[in-house]
Amino acid sequence: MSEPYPALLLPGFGRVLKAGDDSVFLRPEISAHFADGARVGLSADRLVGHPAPPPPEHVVRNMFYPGGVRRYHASGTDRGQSSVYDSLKRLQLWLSDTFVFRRRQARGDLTEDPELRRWLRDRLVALRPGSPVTAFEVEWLECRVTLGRSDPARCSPRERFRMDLRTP
Amino acid sequence: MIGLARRELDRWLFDEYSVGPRSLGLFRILFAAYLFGAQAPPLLAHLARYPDVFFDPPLGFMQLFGGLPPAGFFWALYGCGLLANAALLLGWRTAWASVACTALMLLAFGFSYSFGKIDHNVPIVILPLAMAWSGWGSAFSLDALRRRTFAGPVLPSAGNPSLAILALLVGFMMWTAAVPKLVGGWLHPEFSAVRGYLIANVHGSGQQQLLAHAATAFNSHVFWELADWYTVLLEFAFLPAVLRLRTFRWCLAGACLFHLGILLILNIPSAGFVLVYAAFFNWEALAERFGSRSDVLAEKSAAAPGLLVPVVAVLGGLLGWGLARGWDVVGVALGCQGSLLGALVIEVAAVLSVAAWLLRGAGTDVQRAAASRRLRSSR
Repeated sequence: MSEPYPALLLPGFGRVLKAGDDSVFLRPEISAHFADGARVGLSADRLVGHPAPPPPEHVVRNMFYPGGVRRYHASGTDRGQSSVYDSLKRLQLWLSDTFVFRRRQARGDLTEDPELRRWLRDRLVALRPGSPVTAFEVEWLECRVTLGRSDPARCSPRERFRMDLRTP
Repeated sequence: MIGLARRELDRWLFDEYSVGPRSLGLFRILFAAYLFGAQAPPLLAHLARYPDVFFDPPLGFMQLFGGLPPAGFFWALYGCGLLANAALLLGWRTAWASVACTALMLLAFGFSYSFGKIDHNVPIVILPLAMAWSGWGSAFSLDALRRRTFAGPVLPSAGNPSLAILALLVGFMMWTAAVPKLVGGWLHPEFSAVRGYLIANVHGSGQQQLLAHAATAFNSHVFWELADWYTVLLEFAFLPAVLRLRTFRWCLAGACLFHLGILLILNIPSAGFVLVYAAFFNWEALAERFGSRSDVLAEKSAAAPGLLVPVVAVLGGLLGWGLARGWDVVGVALGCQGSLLGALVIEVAAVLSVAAWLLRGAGTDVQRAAASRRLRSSR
């Protein structure tokens, strides 16, 4: 969720779970596609190329979730909340929409941003020297872990971010 | 009635949190050393290599920036930060150095937090500003020496509201963390909020270090429920506890244990918080031992503060860089993030200090301070 900066607020960690409930979270699978047909997976650290600050996984979450990852957190994961808490989060989202997202919207389509396209090409070309990059993709998986059980996380695709990098 | 309330407010603001200048001076040195060690403000020159679309500032003054400035700006910001930290450490023009520390950290962290994640280290950022006119530069400092030499004005050693205001801010922050937990159902006996976050952290963010992974297998419902209650009650207790330094210290002591717990199982470092808490404890006994040596050092170095501040800034910068690399090397050897290990050392030290405080008889220093105030006023 978006919050103001600076603010004398600490995180609320409001979501609660009971035994048998699912803890739900997002997991990105980042990959680069090349002209020779190869698909190479990479971590957020490898993509961003510099350790925190800011944390690479948060850069990826903030930039490459379609529509903004804050929307996902506002609508998808907070099930079983009290209505008061839900209302507070929606109010916060409305403030963000009004003041912050407008700025992002003014930039237009992210996939057409020439600076971002150039940066991605520079970052990805080293993964497979000699073969041009054709696309950058982030597959967002929604994963669930059931509280009180030791089963591995169950993940299913939720959203996909894709940038065609064949043209400059 | 109004007169009584006003007297009580005055007593709280000016007397309740009065700590001796030597104690504050020692804390200032500790805090400035921490800023060097924690690399605050950080060097962010690498941000200039990112595309401007990555710069997505949250609601606030960072919206005034249209994009990412060049690398030179971040180097200058870092350099000014080191100089401000050095001036604070040496106690040279302490009030202005304190204000500069806050302003530079606010700006640097503002850039860092414009990429999708805000770390909640605001207490560290506001502390120098809150303490700027507290008199924390009136002992163990070049300012103190200048005043002795030039007979300039002496800051009051007691009767200063800075610590009381800082306590109120910390209490308010804790309250903002407690309210969403309460309305979110943390106290419901069937829910395990801490455990839910632990699982999401381990599986979602891959935070499996220290005791995090082992804790996921710990199935005691009573333990996790107690963790939920401890968290909410502690966070709520801060604000009313602000009224008395002694009860506030008990909250701080409980919070040191709480922060160590969340570092161990949620891998969230809070070393900065425990440093802020240290401001509320009495360092007078340690100051006695530190006193004579620091006076000799200060007298030797007072002749050339203009030279000393940049030298200490460079040495502090190298120390911070060396410490970070050192923790990274140890972290690789132990299979753990270096920054977490650094925080672990500070937070364990805080818990041990709290244990020593409890063994020494918690609160006796408060009584001693009150007795000395009474003695002063009777004279």
